[in-house]
Parts: sequence; C-alpha cells; structure tokens
Amino acid sequence: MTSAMIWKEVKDRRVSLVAYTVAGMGLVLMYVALYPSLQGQAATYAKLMESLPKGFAEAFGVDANFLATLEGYIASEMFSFMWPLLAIFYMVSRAGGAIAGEIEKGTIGTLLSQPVTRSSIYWAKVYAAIISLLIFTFATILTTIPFALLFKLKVDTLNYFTLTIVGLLFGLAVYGFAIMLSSLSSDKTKVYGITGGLLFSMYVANVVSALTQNLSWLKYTSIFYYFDAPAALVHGHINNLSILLFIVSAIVFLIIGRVIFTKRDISI
Amino acid sequence: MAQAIIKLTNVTKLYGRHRGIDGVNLSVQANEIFGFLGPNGAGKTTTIRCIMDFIRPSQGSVKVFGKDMHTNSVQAKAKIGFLPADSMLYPKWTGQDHSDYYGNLRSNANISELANRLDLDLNVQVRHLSTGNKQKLALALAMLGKPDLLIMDEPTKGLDPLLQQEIYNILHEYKRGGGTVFVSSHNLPEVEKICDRVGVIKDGTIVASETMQSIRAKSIHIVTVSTTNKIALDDFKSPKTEIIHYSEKHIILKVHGNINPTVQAASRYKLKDLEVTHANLEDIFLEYYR
Repeated sequence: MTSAMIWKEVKDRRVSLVAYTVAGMGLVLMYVALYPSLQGQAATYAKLMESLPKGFAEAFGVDANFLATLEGYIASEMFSFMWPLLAIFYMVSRAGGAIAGEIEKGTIGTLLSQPVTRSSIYWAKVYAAIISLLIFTFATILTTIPFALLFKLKVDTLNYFTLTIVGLLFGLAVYGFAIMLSSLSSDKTKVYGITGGLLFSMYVANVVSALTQNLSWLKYTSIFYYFDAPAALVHGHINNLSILLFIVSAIVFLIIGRVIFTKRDISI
Repeated sequence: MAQAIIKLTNVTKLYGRHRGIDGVNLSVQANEIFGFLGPNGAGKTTTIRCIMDFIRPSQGSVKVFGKDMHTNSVQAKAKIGFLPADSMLYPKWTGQDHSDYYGNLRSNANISELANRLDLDLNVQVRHLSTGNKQKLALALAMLGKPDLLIMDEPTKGLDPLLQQEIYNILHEYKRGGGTVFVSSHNLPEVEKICDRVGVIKDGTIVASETMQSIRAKSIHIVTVSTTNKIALDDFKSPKTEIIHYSEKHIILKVHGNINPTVQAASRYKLKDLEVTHANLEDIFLEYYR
C-alpha cells in the first residue's frame, strides 16, 4: 500500500523533478563551459578579490584563489548560491504541494477515506520526496564530473560525493521544515511564504554576519553558514556540526510534521 | 437489537467558541438507507467529517462497525465507501488511474463493471469530464471493493434526473445486496424515494430521527377555508394550528393532529369552499427545520 502511495507521489511530480534537475544540470554545464576561459585569469581575479574587504568575499563564499581549481570556482559560483536556491525552491514546492496543497484542492479527501493510516500517507510523501531529492542532488552535483571531463578539466571526484552528502542533508533539513509547516496548514502559499521568508532572513543574516564584525554571531542562526560548499568541494571536508545539525533538524521537523498531520482536523 | 453500523454518542465539535455540532446522538442500523437532513450550516458535513475521522470530536465518541473511528479507523474504512459533497479528483489523472491507485489501497479492486454500467469512459482525464461524469467516477470510486457501508454527502447534487434515477437504482440494488447507506441530502423528494429512516439536524443538534413510515404517518393537514362572511382569526387560533395565509374571507391553516376543532370552527361560517389535504413530506421536514 505504502509503495503505491510513494510511486504515485513520484509519478505525479516527475515533471517538476525533471525540470529542476535539468535546470540544475544546465547551470552546471554553463559554469563548467565558462571555466576554461576564466582559468587563465586566475591571478587577476585573485588580486581583485584581495583588494575587496575580507568579509565581502566570505559573505558570498568566494575565496581569493577560487579560480585556481574547477572545484573552487564551481563551489563559489554554483554550489554556494544557485544550487541551494534551486534545492530550496524544489523541496519547498514539494512539501507545500504534498499536504497543504492537497488539502487546499480537496484531493486528500478520497485518500483519507481509504483504509490507510494518516501516518503512512505522511511517510509515503516524505519517502517520495527523499527519492526525488536523491535524484536531484546526485544528478545536479555529480554531473559536474562528466561535464568537466568533456572539457578536459581535472576533477577531484571524491569531493563531489562529499558535497552530495552535504547537499542531501541540507535539502532534507529544508524539506523537513517545509513539510512540518505543510502539515499544519491548508494553504500551500503560507508554506512557501513562511519558509521562503525564513530562509531569506537566514541568507541575509549570513551575509551581514560576514560583513559586520560585531554581528558575526548571526551566522550561527543561518542554515547557509552550515552549508559550506567550498569546504566540501575544495577540501573534501565535512563539518561535523553541520551534518549533525542537518540530521537532527530534519528528524525533529519530520517527526513534528507527522505528529501534527496525524492529530489535526482536516476539513475537506 | 443488532449492533449499530454507525453510532455517534454525545458528539460535540467546537470550532473555537463556535459549536459545529452539539451532543449528537445517532445510530444507523445494518441494511438501512439513512437520510441525513438539515438546512445549510446545520452541521451535516461536520457530522460526516467526524464519522470519517477527518476531524476529531471535542467530546463524545464515533464508532463504525464497532470500531472507534479515532483509534481504529483503518479497519472500519476498509468497509466504508465515501462520496464527498464536492469530489475533488486529480485533474490530470484518468478514471483508470484513479481506479488503479485506490484499487491498490483496497486489495486490487477495480471499478470497470460499474463504469460500464454508468457509461463512463475511464480513459479520459478528469479535467475533461463533465460534472455528471466526474460524479459518476466519484460514485464508482466510493463503491470500489464493494464496501459494506456507503457514506455519501449529497450524491446527486448537480446531476440530471436520468442520472439521479440511475443512482437511486444503484443504491436500492446495493441495499438489496446487504449494504448500508448514510446519505446526506438537501433534496427532500430524493430522501423520500430512497431512505428508510431519516435524522434531521438543526443548529448542530439532532431534532428528529424517525422512520419514513412514521414521518408519513404524521398527521399534518392543510385546511383551506373560503367563506362569504368575514372570518374572525381568533376562531381558528390554537397551539396546534399555524396560520399560513389570512385575508377577510379566506384562510389557509396547517393543522397538527386532530382536525375536528378546525373543521367545527369553519362550520360556524357560511362556507364557499372547504378543502382538507394531507401535508406533503416536504412540509413535514420543514417543520423540523424551523
């Protein structure tokens, strides 16, 4: 029964999965294709970056030598901003449509009248989202390797897998928060609005903390501080605190979402 | 007495300070078609949502097939087919997609037989179906896997008379096959046609629960009196008489129970016309609504 519900979720949302994945892969291809022409100007860019205030480069996840390697470049350009943005849009839209969207449209009524528990409905939606997140993350991060080889660029293969793990957990934490809100609401735009507003505030907090010395503590309140793409991709380093935070928050949000969904009134 | 298929005991549902339903007691016996009536906002849908465990009562208990719908709803729902008031199906799915999906959740049942009977094409996407065909699909899905109990919220809303008749036939056949039906409706002639017993809800409270036979037997008469002389209104006033229309030489009354005092009052006048008719079922239902 649960597998039928998981399959239904994956099948129903395959178009958005393909769209986000293709968009992500297209961006990766664009950045990889641009890299050879920028690589030759690495020294000029390094001088330029050094002339900027220290916090400015940090705020946007850019290292002075970011053009020295493909990993440094693509981590700064793609995986520090564009990729998290795509992942956030995708996971929040998945979560908003899964419960609040179905309540809003009334389609959940027939499903709730079937002999399945609310808990299994909820977990089927979560599992389906995890499957989609796996496909999206693997495809959009690991696709850098064949694209780099296509342009005869050197790649540090293992580090892409490291980033994939961090990306998966980041996506899961975002999804956990959004599905928790989706379980609580009957209006998917509220899920988009609240999650979007919160994540935007976190992004601003991260930027402000890097630019303003006495507000540096703000970075700890931002999920973007913990999603350190350059560390994973350039140095193959995973911050244990980040991993722990992503895992714990994902689990806590998913469990709270499940409790809310099984206990709440659904007026359809 | 056999165990009730649906049993609501003192069910209250509060929405903040507003009471959705208040102390509802209701039971539906096996193999009966139970009509659930009431004006808009009376609490019909709230009651159905409580029965289906979509919303949880603030107080009281809901049992279906002896199972508490909050703690054991899965076992009960395996025997329930549900038709919501506004069936919201997946617009991009075909009828077959719906049948396959929900059939999978109900031991691989399918709706092809009923779809054939209803002349419903299962290969068309829902968004391309007419209102009537959407309702046919929703009905077929409610009957998926041959449930023992059908819970229907206004099943014939927006349907043409032919299709309405077909649905009545299906429900009668379903009952003959041993099924039980709980149907909410605004359509009083429909209730009269298909129901064995009715419950009437008003302002969140059950105000009547009677068999159709006892409702039909209720003695309500409409008495029309036309005279050549002026009628004194006081001659016809009584606690069991309701004046529907009054003019100088013409009066129409609704009389509950014994009509003799009214006829005797009329006989004191020079009558031009006197008509006594039984009130129709709609009038009787409206009595509860007021």
